[in-house]
Amino acid sequence: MALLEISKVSLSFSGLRALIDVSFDVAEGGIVGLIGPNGAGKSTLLNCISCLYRPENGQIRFDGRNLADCKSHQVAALGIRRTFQNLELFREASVRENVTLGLAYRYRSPLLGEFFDLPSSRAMRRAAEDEANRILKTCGLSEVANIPVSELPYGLQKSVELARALASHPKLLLLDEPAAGMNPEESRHVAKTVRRLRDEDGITVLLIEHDMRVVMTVCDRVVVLDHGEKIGEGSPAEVRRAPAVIKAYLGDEGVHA
Amino acid sequence: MTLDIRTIGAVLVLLILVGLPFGLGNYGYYILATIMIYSIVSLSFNVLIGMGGQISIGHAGFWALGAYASALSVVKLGFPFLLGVALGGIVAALFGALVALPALRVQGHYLAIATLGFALFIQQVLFEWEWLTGGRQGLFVPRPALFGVELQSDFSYYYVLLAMFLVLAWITGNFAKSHTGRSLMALRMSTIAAESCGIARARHIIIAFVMSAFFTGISGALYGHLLGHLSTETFSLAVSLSFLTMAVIGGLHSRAGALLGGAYLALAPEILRELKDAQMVIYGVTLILCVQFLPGGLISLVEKIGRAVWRTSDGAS
Repeated sequence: MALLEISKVSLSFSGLRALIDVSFDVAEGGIVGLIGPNGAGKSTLLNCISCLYRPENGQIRFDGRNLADCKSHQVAALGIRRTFQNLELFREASVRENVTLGLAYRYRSPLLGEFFDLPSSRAMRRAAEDEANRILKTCGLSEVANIPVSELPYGLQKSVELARALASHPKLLLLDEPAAGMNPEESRHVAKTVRRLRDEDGITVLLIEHDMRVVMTVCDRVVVLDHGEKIGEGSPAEVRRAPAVIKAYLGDEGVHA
Repeated sequence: MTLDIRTIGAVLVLLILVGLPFGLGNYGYYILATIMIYSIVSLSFNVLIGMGGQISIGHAGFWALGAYASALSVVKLGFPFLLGVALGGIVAALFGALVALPALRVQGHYLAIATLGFALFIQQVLFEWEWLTGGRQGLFVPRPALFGVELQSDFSYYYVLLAMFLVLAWITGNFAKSHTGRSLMALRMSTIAAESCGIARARHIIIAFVMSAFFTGISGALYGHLLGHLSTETFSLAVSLSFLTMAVIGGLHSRAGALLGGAYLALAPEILRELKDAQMVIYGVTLILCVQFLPGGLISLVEKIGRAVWRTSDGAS
């Protein structure tokens, strides 16, 4: 069964058509890659799924539920978590705080209890902290837990963002260029992590990526966008051979060569 | 040494606050009482600006609502003092929820103007509603009374106010470490990131405004009983602005900073009385210097000095 159904989604920004009738499904337990040249509408589509943007036409359903009236924080609570192309972190806060905030909403206690620091509210805080520490350990971030995120190198910041997204045990993880700015070895590590998330934790993944090695090794399906339109879909091998895809990436000469 | 500098600082401040009134006269008590009252407003900005990243130049409106709600309930309905003060906080909090609504849509300058409009509106309504508020003549407010005993002197009232400040400061501290408080700060750092973590912006912004308005309403109520007489001139635009100034100068991220801000607003006019209108220049310059060189407020300077002294004494021993 499809966990995420995207049907005929369109969106334009003051005349510029960013998405045109885009449709595809993401099966439960799948790893789907979203590729395409710059400006193809990949991030826009991710923003539609996480309800930061609202499609003008079409429908996005998650777990059978229409996301049309959802606010972005409700989407997160439904089990969709994401990372961002340019990192959206709580920069002044520590690594642990970032991860804790990723799951804090599930450990909410009544406001009055929080005002008076009642034992119930303290227990909730401790539980969240424990959970965050567990996540930090599995993500290999325990050593830097108390350091403000802004003081970490770029690669680690990306790990923190991923750890924060994972903290709440999402059903669907949206990754916007997880391997961007990484060297080949780090990229391989990213690919391995994504596979492990699916295989061990059963998390469905939709990822945008420019690094073709990552896409080809990790995805079981690939969707290709160009100028807001879907121009190809299939297994990595199929997509690599499709003329329309080659044309979008390499221009006309590529097809005839 | 196992004691840390923060605990020592807190104990020291507390001892000073308790001992302060001794040796002063009636006027000294009055000034100390206003310090506490202003400090509570400063705390409310700790929540609204320091944690929530929102702005308000309409806090005189909440202050007025608290003052009038408390005074009227005591005078016309015969409420006891403490109940009146609580009602003052609650009435202001209700309006806080109302003022939060524009904050869900607009930010920065626009929000500032919206809150400003609110304060002017409240002041005008209170002025025109003559049969209730006394309009131009104003309203007499009885002395504070605890359990039927009237507090004749500002000396004893000061301790009530100090206790009030400490309770609200304690609540502010609890809120700052609670999930709701930290979610509010997360929204300030990155709204997109916070929302993608499942944090509801509207809920938290409303909580920040309600809490801030509640504190300011309590403060206004306490002020009314200190003054003994209310008139709408007390709640002018200038008051809103000086509240904001005091909170920034004291420090928006610290409860001790709130205290320092309150002291600044209460004492500066006393110390600079001779300068008359030139006072405004000093206030303006202090504010600019603070924003430019001490974004953490005066308290960050105190903390720096405290740490330096601590280290040298540690090194000597």
